Amino acid sequence: MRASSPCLLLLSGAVLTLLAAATTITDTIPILKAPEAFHEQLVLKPLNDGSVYSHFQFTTHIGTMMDDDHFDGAASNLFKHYNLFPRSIGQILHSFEVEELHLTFTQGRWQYSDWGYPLAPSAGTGVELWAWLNNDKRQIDEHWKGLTNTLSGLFCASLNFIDDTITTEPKLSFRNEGLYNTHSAPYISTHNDNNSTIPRKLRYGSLPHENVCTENLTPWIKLLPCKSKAGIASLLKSHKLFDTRFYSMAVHVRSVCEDEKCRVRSLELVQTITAVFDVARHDGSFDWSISSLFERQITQSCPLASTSKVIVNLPQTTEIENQYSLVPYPLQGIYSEGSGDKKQEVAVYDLKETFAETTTPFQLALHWEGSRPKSVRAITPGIVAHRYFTGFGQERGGLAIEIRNHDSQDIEAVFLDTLPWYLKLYLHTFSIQLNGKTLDNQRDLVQKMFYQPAVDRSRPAVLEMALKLPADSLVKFTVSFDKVFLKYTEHRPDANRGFDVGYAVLTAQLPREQGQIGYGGLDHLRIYQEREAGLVQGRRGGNSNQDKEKEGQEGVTDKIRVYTDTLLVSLPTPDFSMPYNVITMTCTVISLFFGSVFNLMMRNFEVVKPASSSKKNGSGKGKAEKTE
Amino acid sequence: MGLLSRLSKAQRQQIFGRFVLSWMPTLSYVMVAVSFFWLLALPHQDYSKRTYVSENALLPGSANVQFNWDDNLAAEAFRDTVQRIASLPSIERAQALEQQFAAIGLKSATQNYTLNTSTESLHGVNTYAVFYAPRSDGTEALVLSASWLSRDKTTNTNAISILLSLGKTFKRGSHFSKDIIFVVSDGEAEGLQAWLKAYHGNEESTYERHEEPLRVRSGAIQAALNLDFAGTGDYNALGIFFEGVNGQLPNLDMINTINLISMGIAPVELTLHDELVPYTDNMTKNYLNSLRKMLYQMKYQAVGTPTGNHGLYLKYKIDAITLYGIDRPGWHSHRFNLFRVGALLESTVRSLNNLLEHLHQSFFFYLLSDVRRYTSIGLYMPPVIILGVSFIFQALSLWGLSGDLPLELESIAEGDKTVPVALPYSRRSRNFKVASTTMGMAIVTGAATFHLLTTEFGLVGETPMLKLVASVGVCSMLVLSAVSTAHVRAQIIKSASNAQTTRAIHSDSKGGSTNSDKSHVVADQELTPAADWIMLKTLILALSALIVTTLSALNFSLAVSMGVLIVLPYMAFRPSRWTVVSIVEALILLAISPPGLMMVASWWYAKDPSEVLSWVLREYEILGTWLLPTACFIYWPLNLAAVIMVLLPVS
Repeated sequence: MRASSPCLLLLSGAVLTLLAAATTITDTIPILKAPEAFHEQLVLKPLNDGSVYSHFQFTTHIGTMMDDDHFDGAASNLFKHYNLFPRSIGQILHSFEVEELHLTFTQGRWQYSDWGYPLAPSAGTGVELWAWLNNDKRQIDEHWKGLTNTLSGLFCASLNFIDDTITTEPKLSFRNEGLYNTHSAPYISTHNDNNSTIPRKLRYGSLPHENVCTENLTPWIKLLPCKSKAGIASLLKSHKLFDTRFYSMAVHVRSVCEDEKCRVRSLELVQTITAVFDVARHDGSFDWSISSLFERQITQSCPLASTSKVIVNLPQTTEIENQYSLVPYPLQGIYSEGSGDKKQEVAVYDLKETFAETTTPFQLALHWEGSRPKSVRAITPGIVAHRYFTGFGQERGGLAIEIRNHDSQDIEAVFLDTLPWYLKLYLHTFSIQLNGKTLDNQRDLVQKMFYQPAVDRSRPAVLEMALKLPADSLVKFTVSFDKVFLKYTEHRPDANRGFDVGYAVLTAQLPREQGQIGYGGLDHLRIYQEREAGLVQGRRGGNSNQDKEKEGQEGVTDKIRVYTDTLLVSLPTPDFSMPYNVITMTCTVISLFFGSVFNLMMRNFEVVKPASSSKKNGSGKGKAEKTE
Repeated sequence: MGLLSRLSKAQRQQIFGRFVLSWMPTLSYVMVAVSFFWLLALPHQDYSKRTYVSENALLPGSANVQFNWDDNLAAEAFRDTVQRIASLPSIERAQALEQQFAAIGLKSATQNYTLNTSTESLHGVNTYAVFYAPRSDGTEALVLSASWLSRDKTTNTNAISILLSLGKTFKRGSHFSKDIIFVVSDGEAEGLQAWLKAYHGNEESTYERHEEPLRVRSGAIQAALNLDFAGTGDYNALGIFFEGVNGQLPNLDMINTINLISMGIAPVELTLHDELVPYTDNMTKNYLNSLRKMLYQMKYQAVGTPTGNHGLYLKYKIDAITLYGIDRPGWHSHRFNLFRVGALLESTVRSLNNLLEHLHQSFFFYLLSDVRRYTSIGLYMPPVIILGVSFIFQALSLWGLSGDLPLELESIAEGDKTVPVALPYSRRSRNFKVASTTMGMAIVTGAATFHLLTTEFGLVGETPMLKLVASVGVCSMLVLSAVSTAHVRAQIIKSASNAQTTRAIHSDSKGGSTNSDKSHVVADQELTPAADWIMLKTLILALSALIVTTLSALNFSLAVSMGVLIVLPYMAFRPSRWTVVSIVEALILLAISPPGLMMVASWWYAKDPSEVLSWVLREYEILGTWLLPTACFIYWPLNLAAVIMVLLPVS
């Protein structure tokens, strides 16, 4: 690595000069083109229960000019030449006409009630893939199939199992995230809606029982400009990453606006890794350092990165001020936002600056005064959702969904649940309870409801509801179903394990609250990135001031998605060895004995004398006739 | 023609008739004898096999045990805490424990429940905590549970402290694929029952039953271990209890796993139930020991009561056993303390954690004669089936008797030779009215008794015993009225037929044709239907066969005990010309009637009969055992009908 770094530096220098040249040229030409850029960022936060949350975010921008209505990579020569943007992703986007792509691999469960909401927008266990595809040529289903199969190959995952029986098209959830950021917030309301002329279509699929491992991480790292050779990505050691309480790895591609009127847009590739380390597992100590978490060090920043930052969300203690010490103390000092209970302090380390001064590896450690941080402010997430099966036995069952709203105001949310076809839902049994009492008038709570009944062996049941959750409430939905007796070839090899049923997703607009770990959704990250790291100050000019004003305003909301746990359903399972035994046994018995016994019962045995005359024969025949 | 078709239809009928009437009764007694001998042979060593782990995924004892000396010290510290809070009221005790679990770092909560049965009101608070396995998706879970009250009726101190200590141990590992739920239940069985109901979303909120919904959940429970380690001391041996509600059994691999671990990684002496049996080479002693173990298992299975709280899980298709620490000072084996128990439990949980599928490989139907020997269903089912078939044979022969099956053939001259021609298949008409009415009345009486016993009327001085006495009164009324009616009817018919025969003799003397004489007698026989007791007995035997064989598939032990009890009386007893014999028979039948058996049980266990009755009622209302419904809807009606049968006129 040491040997290669000068080479890399040279290369990066060349690229940077090229980029600079490109920007100067584009400024003179009427076609606007934003520069290509790569940013790397690591957010660390000690959680309330002593775990440490780490969020890697790598953002690659590739500028383009688009016409008013839709993004067309081919027209703008976007996918002809690649510098920082990974070619494998670019080609996929190009050949399957993907407008927006979100792919997440997750292992473990996010504990909402302990940890708040994650910075990563997706947190459902397993693999989640959703994409907006261009449906100009009405080839969306082929494209989707191609997309899943190609990604399956690219990431060494079973994404090709997302077939028609799993794929859905949600009506309210998973809206377009592209062409939407702080600058274009008003733009979205007018343009990016159903009345838009762009024939985009959404496809959504998830695999709840997909295991995530090193084989998925390696191709993911390959998409980075510096791989894991330099910069923050050098911390990615799979041994440590997969031994965590929660691990999530994502690729998000979307187009975003670069100016106010959205004339300049860029294609954004965001790669995130989120991991929650249980630091107290072994010795009970809550102290941590970068080398203890990752067992690696950052020896240099990625030369290709425009920015390279490590951000620490400091724990908010309630009683005593300096319960912990951060080593080293950040050069720029500690930022703080909010006040009182919602105060959040942030320490920012700029690796570019750090490594400009010194070549020693970057160190960071947090030590607690006591053995256990007791006075850390508790987290109360606004919305928590749980889903579980009711009943027992293999014939029928029920599904219960509990949504708690801890917030002091009504919250609008969209609930999406996809259930496989082998659970036959009975919609007439659908009932809603509010704080333990059955609701007769559901209109106040459920404002819209979409239900797509399942079709055997071809599509799942989809239940989608726009909800208005009352303040401080517990809403409970219940519905009953029958379990289908599958054909015996449809059982998996591990038939007695049961079938995994994927999570339900609750999308909600939550009032922005400081002090929580994150707000779920890429947009916040972008804001965060821009403001804290001062990324695009020069490019944006005065816009960031506007943002800050907006931040201060009341009523600013963040879109979050809450994922429920996945479930296991046991369907009626035949004893696969028994029929086999019975069949072979019966067949043997029948084949051995049937013929002889049948013969003995029914055949007429008579002694035929060899030298018999025709007369005797005749009488014998006569006898036979008589007895018959 | 073959063997069958060589004979004419008439000849086949003759053979069949002869077999039914003369051989079947004998054969059925022979079958009863065979069945009894077979049952008695089951405990013998040659009929049982050594157990083996069938599910390869379990790999018992292959993982290193993390439970170390520090954890043992922690357990001992928890023991003091548990002892301190044990005497608090339910709610405070549960909350204190909840805090203990929370301090370890587990998500914990409490659950209130209330259960009002027809006789008492139960209230309690459960504590439960969930260890979320890192890296897992939380679709599967294992349960470790302990009740506050041990089966010795003392505080389950060691079990609860080991739960807390294990929670701490598990927190250190990241190798669990299933969540682990810790449940400390209040009360006897009702606490865990309430928790299980709420976990499966079946919580109720009525006056009779109230279960608070759970706040912390995990995935589908795959297996459960219930711990019963009373007191604070050391133990000599580990007992396994496995009999569940209504004779359900956990997968044998649960026991096999413990077996292997107790021989390897955490060596302790293992036994079935709470009885320690010294090792012996003596065959007779071995046989008797096995017999005792089997009878213990069959007793609980037949009654339907679980031998511990594990039995409640089985209803929800969760395999579970209870581990019980046996403290027998003076026993030769090495005593062991919580350190060993912790290692054993951890190793078992690790082994169950390895499961990829729900336990399904090994046996679900077995009889254990020792902790390491089992008798499979293939060996123990035949005797019950043989018993059922003997009932059927007896019923068939009675049915043939009632129709007066033809045993001889009539030869009709046809040309130069005689051709055998069959007589009518049955020469007597069968009157089924009396039998079916009696049986119907008996069943209605049984059902009424059941409702009387299980309904609370709110009358003054209302006790189950009083209700039972009332229903016994109703039953005796039924028997009396049925028997007296039958006798009166028999008298009337007798006098009527006497008159008829005198008339017939009179007309015979008038006509005087020898040929018509024979046909007349035959016609006369056709007119007189079979005696009512024959029809009733046929019905009783046929129903018994149906019930015994059906029950044997659901609850083997119940079917066996019922079959063995009723087979000889029901087959042998019939009304006698001597009234004394009939009365003796009726008394024997009364002795094996439900109230009679209740008296026998109360004498055997030296309890008040009312205690036995309220125990049966309680088991039905809390756990939903089948004993009371079976007794009321099936057993008692048959018994009543049998009593009526032996008292009917012989005619």
